[in-house]
Amino acid sequence: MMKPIDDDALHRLLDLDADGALGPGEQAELAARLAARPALAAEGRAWAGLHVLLRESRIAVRPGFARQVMEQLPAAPWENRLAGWHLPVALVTGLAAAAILLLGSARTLEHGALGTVLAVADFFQAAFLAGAGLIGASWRGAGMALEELIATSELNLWALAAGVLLINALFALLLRRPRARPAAAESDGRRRP
Amino acid sequence: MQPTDEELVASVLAGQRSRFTDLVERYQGRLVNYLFRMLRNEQDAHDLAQEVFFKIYGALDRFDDRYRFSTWLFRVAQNAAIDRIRKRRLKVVSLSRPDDGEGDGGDWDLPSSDPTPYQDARNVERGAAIQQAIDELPWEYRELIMLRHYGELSYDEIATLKSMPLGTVKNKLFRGRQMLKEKLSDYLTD
Repeated sequence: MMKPIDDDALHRLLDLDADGALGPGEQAELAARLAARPALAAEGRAWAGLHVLLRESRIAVRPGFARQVMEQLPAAPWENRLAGWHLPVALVTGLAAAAILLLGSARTLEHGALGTVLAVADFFQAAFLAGAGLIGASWRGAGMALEELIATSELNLWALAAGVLLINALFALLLRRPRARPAAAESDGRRRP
Repeated sequence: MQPTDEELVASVLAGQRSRFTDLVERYQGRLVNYLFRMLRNEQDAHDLAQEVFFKIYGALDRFDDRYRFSTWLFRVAQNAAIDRIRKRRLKVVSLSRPDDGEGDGGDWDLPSSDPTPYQDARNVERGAAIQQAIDELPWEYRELIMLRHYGELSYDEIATLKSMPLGTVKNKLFRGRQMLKEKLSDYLTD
């Protein structure tokens, strides 16, 4: 036995059914109620008619609209940022691939299938050594420059000490800076343009 | 299988600009229809739809893919349409009907003089009656009717977009459609 419902609730079911928003259980319930009250069939048709009327009142989009949008689409600021990091990454990746290929072909001749693996290992070893060498040279160069600077005059030594202190103070300030709160516009889950 | 909106956005952001066409084609009908009902002018609806797509494209890197693209698009569209209506109202304020205080006012004569898809007189009359019935709804129902029946958003999407509980959305849509059913009863007879 179905629980009795008022006309308003029944009309809601008819409306939702016409909108395709009823689940299978609710559809079955509505069918049973309609079977018990055949007079409601006309009401159901009126609800369905309203949804058809609304659907048929939609207009057609101008032909070629999407093409026109794409043709006039302005460049977005984020596209430049993408291009900015894509190019160097692509360049480095390309160079690395070329180096591995060159080393690999030579090693394959010597060691067979294992050659490619060895070539990759060689490549990373070479890159590591080059990086370490560069860092070492940079530090050595900086050390020599400082040594020369300090040796020239005692004033330079004090200036250097003051500079070091200032840099440390700046780091301390940055570390103590409070975190920014999330933007209010995102509270609803969207960042507004 | 069709890629999801969010997958298309990811492709565009990865450098495939042409994938934005898929998004435009997917949403152009819904967006133009929604804006047409907001602005009541077919040319303006197309122009503003184009602007909305430009805005969306420009801000695509700020789209949060944990949420739905459709609700973001229609939020931008609704804000743009309301801005456009306000600007129009400033231009024609001396000619407008008294403001009913329900959001977008009623500054234009109905039915629209734009060409419509209806070719015969009966269809033109019916189209005008539908537009008038929608325009006479209180704004709180009208905006949901437009989002549902012209923007073709789901009940869930409307609830997210309007920050309303799902039950409230269903209730308001029912009440709005009930009013439309009464106003359009002449067109609903067997």
